[in-house]
Amino acid sequence: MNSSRAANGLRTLWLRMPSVFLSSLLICLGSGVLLAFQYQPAGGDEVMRSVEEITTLIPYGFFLRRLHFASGQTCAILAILHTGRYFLKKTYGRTAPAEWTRLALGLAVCLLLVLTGFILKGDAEGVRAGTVLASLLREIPLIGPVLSGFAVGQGNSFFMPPFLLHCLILPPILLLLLGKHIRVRLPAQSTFAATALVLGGWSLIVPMALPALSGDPAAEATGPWLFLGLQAMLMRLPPLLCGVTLPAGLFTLFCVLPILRGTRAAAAHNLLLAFAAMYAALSLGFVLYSSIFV
Amino acid sequence: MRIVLTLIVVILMLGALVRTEYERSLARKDVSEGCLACHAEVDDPDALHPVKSFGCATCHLGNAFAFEKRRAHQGMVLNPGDLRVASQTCGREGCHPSHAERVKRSVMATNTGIIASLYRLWGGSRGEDQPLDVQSLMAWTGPKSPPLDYFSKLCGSCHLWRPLGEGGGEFAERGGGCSACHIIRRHEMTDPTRARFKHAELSMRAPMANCVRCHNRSARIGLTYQGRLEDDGYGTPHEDGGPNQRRITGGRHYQELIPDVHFRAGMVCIDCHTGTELMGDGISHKSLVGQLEIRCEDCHAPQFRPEAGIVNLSGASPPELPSKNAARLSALNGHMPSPATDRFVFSQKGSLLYALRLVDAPSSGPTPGKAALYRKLDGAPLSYAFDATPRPHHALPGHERLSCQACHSPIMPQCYGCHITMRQNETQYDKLLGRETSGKWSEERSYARFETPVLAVGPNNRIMPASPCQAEVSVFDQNAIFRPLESPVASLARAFDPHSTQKTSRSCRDCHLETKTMGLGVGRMSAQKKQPFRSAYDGNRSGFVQPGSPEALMDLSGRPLLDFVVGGPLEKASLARIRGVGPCLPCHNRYEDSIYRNFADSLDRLGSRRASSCFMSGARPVQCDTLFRDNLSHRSPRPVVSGERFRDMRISY
Repeated sequence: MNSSRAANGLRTLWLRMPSVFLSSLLICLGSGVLLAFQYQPAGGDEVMRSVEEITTLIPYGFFLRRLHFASGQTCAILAILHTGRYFLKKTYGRTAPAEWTRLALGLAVCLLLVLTGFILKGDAEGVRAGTVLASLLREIPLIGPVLSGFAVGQGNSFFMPPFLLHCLILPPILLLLLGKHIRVRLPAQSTFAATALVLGGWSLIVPMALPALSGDPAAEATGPWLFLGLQAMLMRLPPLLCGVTLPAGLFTLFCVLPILRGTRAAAAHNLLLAFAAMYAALSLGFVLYSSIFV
Repeated sequence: MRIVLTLIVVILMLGALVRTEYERSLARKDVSEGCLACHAEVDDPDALHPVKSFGCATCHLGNAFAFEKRRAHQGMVLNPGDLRVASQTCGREGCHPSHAERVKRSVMATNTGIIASLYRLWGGSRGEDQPLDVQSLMAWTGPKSPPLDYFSKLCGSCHLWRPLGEGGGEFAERGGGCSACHIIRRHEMTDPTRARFKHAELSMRAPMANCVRCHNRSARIGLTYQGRLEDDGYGTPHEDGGPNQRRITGGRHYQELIPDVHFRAGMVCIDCHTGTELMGDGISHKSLVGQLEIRCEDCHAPQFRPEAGIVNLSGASPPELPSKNAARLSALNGHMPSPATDRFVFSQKGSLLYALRLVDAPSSGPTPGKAALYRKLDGAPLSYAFDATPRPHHALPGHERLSCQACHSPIMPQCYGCHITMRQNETQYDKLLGRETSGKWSEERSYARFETPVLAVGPNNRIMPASPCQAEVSVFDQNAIFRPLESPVASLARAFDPHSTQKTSRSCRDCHLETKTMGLGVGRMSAQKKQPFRSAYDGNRSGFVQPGSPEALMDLSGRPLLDFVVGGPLEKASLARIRGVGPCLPCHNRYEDSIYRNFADSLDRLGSRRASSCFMSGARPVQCDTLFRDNLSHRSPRPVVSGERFRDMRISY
């Protein structure tokens, strides 16, 4: 009796997930637009100054920033759960390759939004994350240096490319990729209200994390939580391998899943699954290592 | 119902949001940095670091952009001078980057000399991986050898890496990196809201108290300079029927003796010691000696050089002329006039002695020059004359190796019988680890004297006053049983400037006729070939650690009796030459005496009977060689203990 109720609840949650995602996305976009008016993407210390002013000086800025962070993280988590669910259910076998690629791209854009948002904090961790991103992109043969310039700027313009990506380029792309979902699963008022209340309550109660200051030791710096596994790999493996080749290869493999058949599909599925498990373990291990030894 | 509940939740949340926002709005002010929103009325640490220009976070770090205590205080440091953060605070780019790095390598931060001396006490050997400076010792996680444990628990409170305020009482005042010298008054926080308070006062005019806070033990130069003799704690002479109130750090009593002549002139440590000496020259020296650069001659026989062609001695970038450097430093000092001359004196390492100014250049004839040394604390000039060429007694042949202190430091603290006990069954606070660890060290001194020093060969092969350091260690294990094999006994000695300089020098007799000064110890010289010197105290018979008297540095054959950290006792040949002059002194007691122009030749002439007879009192002729023989059997004076010879020199007793 209890197990069937739990199963029903879980199913309802799964069914509500797209609505919650879209509600969070709307809140994230709305709060993001308001924050963008106060954000100063150019200048050295001015970026962090503007972030801190939003957090502590601008009326209700602290709330907007927390809300933006919370809704953005919720979107990312739900996007991972959503993609993971369809991957585990092996729906790629009956999905059109273009549709499946759209799912993969949507997840990738969500992750990029998380990463660029992390950089835009403007603190020492943001600078370090941006530097790592630029360095990884530079590892790509031929087009690396050019691509790196599109991701992170130089000097006082360091934060300008990620700002443009985060505010003007990636959100429209995400909305385009979600186009069909938005039309079909426009969130109900109740779902939107519940999501807004939960995120609003969280933003009121949980304080914003402290920024990393320039004097903080680099050894203690950590990237966004979704990229901790990558950070752990970068400590041991060549950047080109673990920062470019491996993610690109796995992403390609994920995208081509619908066109693979039989044992090849199973092998690809298992490989991706094994990597996901390993990545999760690496991330967890890194967190434990950082908290104990660093 | 659901709508009502939702509305209630929404209203509650909005209320909470508005209230939080209201509370936050109270802290917001139109200020250049967030810190000043709360700490609105803080006075300037000094004229050169105004809060209006620098704000708080430039020195104290933290998050200057935040208007919220939790965020603003993140990463903040109370003492910016702390060497752990100095490269981000005082030493940040654009401020004093080279100074912070130099200080970290200076002996006041590394304590390399002290640690090396302790290794020496315990046999002189040190493992390759064993730390030799404070910073590596602080990071040392392995078991501590006895010298390291001793240093950490007893000596470890006086180094610049020590965090300011750690521990209680006077310990809390020591250390603090740059602040150890440059903070001349701690902050005064009376307002509980911390909105207004008097900031600690910052200055390059470091008062003597900042130096003596640490430099009051071991060589005790900080005390000697002020004419203070640490006594044995009886508090005598009593005042109002009880112990007197004269106390120095650690509650120790002291007697007042005659201070150093420079102290009497109102000079403090920084009037002589240059910034290069105090903050280091960027090299991690093995001991203090390597870091020193100032010499008495720099002021008393100054070589004023025209500044033309001299650049970059200050290390400034871009290079600056000495006159500009002097003008800048004088302006930073705030009490000193800008130099009106283009001739300056430089130390042997090239430091500009910017407080020393030429008033009148000496003529080539007998007219001396005039110079003025501006006191750094108050800018008052101390004028004095100096000669173009050394005076005859300063150029006496055979005295080239004498340091100024050898003659002009008539008194020196000398302590004997330092007994160090280590009890492994007790615990003690490790000042470097910041916690109690097993093993407790304690020190007891047998007795100390404040008397005429022995002369020995010091750094740079110069003859200097020396002081012994006798240490006997007793280690007791966990069962309180004495462990003789782990308990070293050492008789060390070191030549150094005791900082007791007087204008009047010691007499010729003090060196040439006094066996103690020569390093033989108190005793009796005789013409007997079998036993030309008899020590007043036979250490061998008494079971003492060294064979001669406690003051003896060597025996008559020149064999060292003590282990010298730097230098050694006088060489056998030097000793023979010094003794050789003694018999002549009763009659030939003036520097100008012709026999001293070429003393070896004078002795030759005496030996070959070519010398004329000399006359004692009356008309009875006495040949010099007879007098020579008679004088060999003189008895050296009894040791002069404090309160006898210098009673007339006391300021108050």
